[in-house]
Amino acid sequence: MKNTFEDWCLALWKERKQDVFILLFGVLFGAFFEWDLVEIFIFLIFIWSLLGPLPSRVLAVPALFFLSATPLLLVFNREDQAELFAVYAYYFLVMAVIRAIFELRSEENTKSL
Amino acid sequence: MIQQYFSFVIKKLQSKECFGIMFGLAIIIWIVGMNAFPQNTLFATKDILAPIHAWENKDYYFMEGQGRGFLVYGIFALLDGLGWDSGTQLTWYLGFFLFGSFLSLWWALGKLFKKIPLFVRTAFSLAYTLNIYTLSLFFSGEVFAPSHTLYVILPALTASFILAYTQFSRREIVQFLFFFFLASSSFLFPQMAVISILYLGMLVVLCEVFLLRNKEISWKRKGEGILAMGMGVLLLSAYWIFPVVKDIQYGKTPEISQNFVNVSWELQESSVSFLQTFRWFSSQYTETFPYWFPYEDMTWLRSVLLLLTVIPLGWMILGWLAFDKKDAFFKRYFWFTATLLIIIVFLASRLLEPFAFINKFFFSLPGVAVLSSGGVFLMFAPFLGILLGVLSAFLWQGYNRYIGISACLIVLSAFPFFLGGIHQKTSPLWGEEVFKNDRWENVGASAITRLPKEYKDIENILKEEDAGKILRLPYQGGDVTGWERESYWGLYAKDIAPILFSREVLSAQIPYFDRWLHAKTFATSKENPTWLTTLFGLTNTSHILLYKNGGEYPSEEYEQKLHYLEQSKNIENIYETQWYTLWRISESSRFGRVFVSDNAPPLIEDPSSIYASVNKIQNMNPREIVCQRGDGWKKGCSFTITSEEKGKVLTLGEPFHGYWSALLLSQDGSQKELQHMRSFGFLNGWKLPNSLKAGDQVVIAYAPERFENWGWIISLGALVCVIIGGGLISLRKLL
Repeated sequence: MKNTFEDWCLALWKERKQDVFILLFGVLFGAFFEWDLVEIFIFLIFIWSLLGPLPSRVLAVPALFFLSATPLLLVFNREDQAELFAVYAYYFLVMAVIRAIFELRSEENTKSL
Repeated sequence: MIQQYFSFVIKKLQSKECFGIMFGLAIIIWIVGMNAFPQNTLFATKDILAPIHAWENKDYYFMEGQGRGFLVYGIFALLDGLGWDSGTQLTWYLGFFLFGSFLSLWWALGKLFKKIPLFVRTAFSLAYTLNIYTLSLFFSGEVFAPSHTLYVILPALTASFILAYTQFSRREIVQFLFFFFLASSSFLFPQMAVISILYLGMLVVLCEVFLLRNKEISWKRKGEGILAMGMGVLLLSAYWIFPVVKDIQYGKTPEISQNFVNVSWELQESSVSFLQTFRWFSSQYTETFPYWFPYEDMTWLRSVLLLLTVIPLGWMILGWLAFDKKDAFFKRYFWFTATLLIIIVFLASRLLEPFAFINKFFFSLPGVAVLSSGGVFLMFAPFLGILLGVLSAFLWQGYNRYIGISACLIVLSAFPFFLGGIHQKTSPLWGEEVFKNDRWENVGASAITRLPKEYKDIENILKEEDAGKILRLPYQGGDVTGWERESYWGLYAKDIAPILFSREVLSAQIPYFDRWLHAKTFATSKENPTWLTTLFGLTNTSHILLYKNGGEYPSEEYEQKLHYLEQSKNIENIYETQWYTLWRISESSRFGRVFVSDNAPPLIEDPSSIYASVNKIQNMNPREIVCQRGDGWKKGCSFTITSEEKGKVLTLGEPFHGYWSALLLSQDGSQKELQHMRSFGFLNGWKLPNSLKAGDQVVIAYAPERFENWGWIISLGALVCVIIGGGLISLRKLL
């Protein structure tokens, strides 16, 4: 497993050096605006969803998790956490929408060909 | 042709659609009946005073925004003119708002989705009408502000715009223009115009991004369609654009001209959390429902109702789960709506980190600062949530019945509507006893009351022909936006005096008066207190109304000083109740509304020197001018010049404002606008030239209607064209 991850990292560095720099820039960007670790991580996922690219349905999974957890947290009177989860769900919704736009466009282009 | 028309109508009445509308109407009528306002009641909250005596005060309401609010207030004026009492008018508005919202979404869903099942359409239309957001609007009284008519028109406006933009047929364009005109009824507040135009702009961009357009339409037809829509919108908007332009010119809308607006402060004050926006909470008013739950014996219900509000999140999840569905049309619409919702949630939530820097940038853009106050974006969340729900029902066709049932649960989240009598039960100011003992600021929301009879007692005194302004005490400073704050007339609500007595009230914002408290040693110093009554007299103030329950602005301080003025015979106590004291200012202190003096030097706002300054004014022997007052609220007046006035300064006893102007009409027929200046530093003044001749006329006017009438003519003309065009197109289709 470790080897596989290391291999993946090495391959990434070799093949997509430019993308790695963009990710590092993302970290610096988040640090500059004093975002917390979770927010920086989500921001990196966002960048990767564009560079990767990640399909919108993959992005939907965490969003659905956060959205579904929100009512439960409300039931247990944990409103602050529910709000935080709603914000995270929102981030993934934004990413999914952006990806969906790309996907719709590429579907349209494929059809027209 | 008539026979054909009637058979068409009968066919429509027998259709399933008609049954759905009738079902919705029946529920709404029941709710309106259950929540009917008692007769002769008033509704007043912190910022809102539902229109009263609207026929008598139609000029006053018309002057609010130079006619921009007249589409709403005009209807109240009409009902008032028909003899409907204030309570019945409020009940009528409740019905109008609810049924209008229902019909608007009903129509929009039918237009956007031809094959929508009847149950889904009815359930979602009811959910748009009766939900936690509309309930909170009624609790807070916000619903009586013209800005919220946009909520009623929004679905029809959106659907008609999407269809007009994607099809460019004449019929759709005419429909869109008609709904745009109706939506403009909310443009009394410029931010509603800005947000509507921003919203339509977003629809255009998203229609292009999500390819919601007809590819077969040629660019030529598209260009013609866009031109027709743009021209139509401009022509229909003439009636509100002209006054807004004038407002900007005179700095009356600082939010637009960006003077004095602290965007960061505004954003912080009016931020709404993400979750609350998703759940359609009107959380800007944290003292209102559902935060404030007025049913003490049913507190358990609060949690249930709050939980029902997460249903729109469920609709979003359902739509998302339908990724594999092949129906590209609904998928596109889903993403289109989700994107709109994302933008709206972002704009409503504002300062939430980590987006603060984007928000600050966006809300600082020219013209957008107007959106920085108030939760105006929240108004869009229910409609977009409903659209996502309907789209989920389409994407999960086999289960659409269950999704429809979930919409019915949203209706239940507005449970107090069904309990009935929401205002009687929840208004702490209802009934004489409660009215006496309770204070507005200690309670939640909803405030219906009857006017205390003591106010009726002074009606005749204050409606005297020659009466001047009413000075309202205690003063309450305006907030950062320059809004005049409310005063206490038994309840903490917008001041009723201008409307009830058809009289102008001296504003708290004008200089000198708001600082009169500086005279700490008023009653004991050597200063002659007549300087104060002279200041009142300069502004043509004839009465002082002191509200006794001044809350955070205690009246005792003022009372002491006024008693001192009373002892020195400057003012006379003419009526006293537990709520207020009414004084009349001595006739000798009044200068008249218009007067001339040799000069009008600015008074010095300094406790030690204002006495001397005012003395100088008295020594000037200002001469009152009998100025024939025009009809209506704040209208100016006209008088004929005699040889004595040449070269003197003409003063109008109204706080200085760029809207006032004076026109010199010479006997030879020529006209000249006199140069406007500050008289005594805070009143309107004009220097009368030496060259004028006896017999020339001076006309003083407030907000002279240079273009407004043209604006109305253009807009109404365009509306008539739209209606005739629409009628002709419908007839052609029918035949």
